[in-house]
Amino acid sequence: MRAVLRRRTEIATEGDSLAASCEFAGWRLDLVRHELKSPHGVVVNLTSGEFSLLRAFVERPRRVLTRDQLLELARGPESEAFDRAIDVQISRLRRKLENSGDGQELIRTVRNEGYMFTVKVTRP
Amino acid sequence: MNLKRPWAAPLFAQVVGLVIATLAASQLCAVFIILSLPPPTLEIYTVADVAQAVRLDAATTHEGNKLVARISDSAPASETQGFRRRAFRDDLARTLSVAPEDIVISQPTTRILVLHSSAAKRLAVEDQPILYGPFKLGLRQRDGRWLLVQPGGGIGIDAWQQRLLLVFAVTAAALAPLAWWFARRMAAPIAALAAGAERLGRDPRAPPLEPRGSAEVIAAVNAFNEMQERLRRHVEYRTTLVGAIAHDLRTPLTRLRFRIEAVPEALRAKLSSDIDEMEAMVSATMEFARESAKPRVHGKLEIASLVETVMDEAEETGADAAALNAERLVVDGDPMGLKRVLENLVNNALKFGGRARARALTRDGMAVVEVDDDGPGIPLEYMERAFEPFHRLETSRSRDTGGLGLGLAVARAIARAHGGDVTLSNRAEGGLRATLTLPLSVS
Repeated sequence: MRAVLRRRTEIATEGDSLAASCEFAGWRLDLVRHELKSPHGVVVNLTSGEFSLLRAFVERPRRVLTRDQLLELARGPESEAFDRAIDVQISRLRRKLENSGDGQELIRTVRNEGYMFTVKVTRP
Repeated sequence: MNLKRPWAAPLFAQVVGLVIATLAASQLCAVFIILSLPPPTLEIYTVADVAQAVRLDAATTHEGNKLVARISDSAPASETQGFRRRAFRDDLARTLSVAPEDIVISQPTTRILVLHSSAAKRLAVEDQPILYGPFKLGLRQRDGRWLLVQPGGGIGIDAWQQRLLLVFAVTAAALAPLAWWFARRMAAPIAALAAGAERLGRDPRAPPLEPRGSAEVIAAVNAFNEMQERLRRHVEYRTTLVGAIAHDLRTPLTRLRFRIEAVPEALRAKLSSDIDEMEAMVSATMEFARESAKPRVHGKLEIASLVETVMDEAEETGADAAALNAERLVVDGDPMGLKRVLENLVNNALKFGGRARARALTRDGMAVVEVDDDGPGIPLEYMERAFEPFHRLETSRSRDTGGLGLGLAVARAIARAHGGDVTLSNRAEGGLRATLTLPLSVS
């Protein structure tokens, strides 16, 4: 019973999330709290799949990533999802980024190869 | 509660003070106008003035009033009455060398003029007949028509009437802003109190109202704040109690789980499944208590992305769920809490309605998320009961539709903590619609 009472007064601690976040084109991705903030300071919610995908991109900016690479980076080595699933998730991620941002293209399609994250990523 | 009580005059004293102040201010305005403006011109016409008007068709008196003359076919309406008018007529007849019978003086009303002797001296009208105020004087011409002489150039009302209207206009113009300001000052705290009472209905954890306004309103606001505080404590106490009971039930349940190892095999499976069910109920209840008591984390949040996330995640598990034309809407809120609201609504839609369709839009300045299903809907009289904790409309308590009847209660508790609400309605085309409304983020 005491534990329940204690939980009520618990304060959400910020933690050391500062070290584990990165910024790109005004956006801010918190890698610990899995939270994406737009350039206007608005939280944009991502599914876990979209988050993994975005993390794969920001860790390797300005490089062409093939669908296979993305699958492996986002879902782990033994994932068996097919190509189209990645395309669907990328289009959803793109839509969320475009609608809440400045309309800038962040993820570019490289024909016959894969996708590329086009902007610079900084880690504070 | 120890709220600071700033001193303020009671409403009674404020209103009495306002009336007296208004009266004094209007009288001051009137006195100021009377003293500062020159006295109005006296509308006095002498025989010489009228004679000049007859000869030249127009004349201006000593006081600056104008007389005009024109030819008319008919005589003035009434006969000359009263000895002063007759004296005036006789004097005028002598001056113009016409018969007194050819002159008719008509005045619409009988007026009394008290002329101070100094003013009479100033106007040089001592001992001579005069006409005062509006009049019509007719002089018969040789051809039988009439020459009409009357005051002209005015706007049809007397000088003293004009002065009175001026006083009224100036007073009204001077007092209107004061009245406006004062009325606003009295009404605003009452309106704030009403808004606070309305908000309390939705969220007992709203911040207390600031006591301001008249003494009576401050007393009402303080009483209201204390009531809200008691209500909040009561709700929190109840929720904590439920959570604590659920928490304490876990220990004997765990002990039970060990003890059934000793019972015969046939009975054990059934007992075990009963214990599973009880444990699920306990954890759902604890979660409800936790969600209800959770402090709010406020940040800007894009609600459409949340809707899409919840629908996509539901779809990934094979459910028939989709987000339709989600508008980009920013609200203030806790992302985890609001996600739970949407998940609960979508899970209900999928469980009882087979499929879920969600859209985000703005309506009446609020962010609205609608979750539609294709189920049978809910009879109107059970609509509100659906939100009661532990209340399940489906009485079978069958395992596969599961649940404890906490989903909607949790959803509504979280939505109301955000200043919004969750409501249900049956769609015209069939199926149930759960609507989440949230205040839009300002800026």
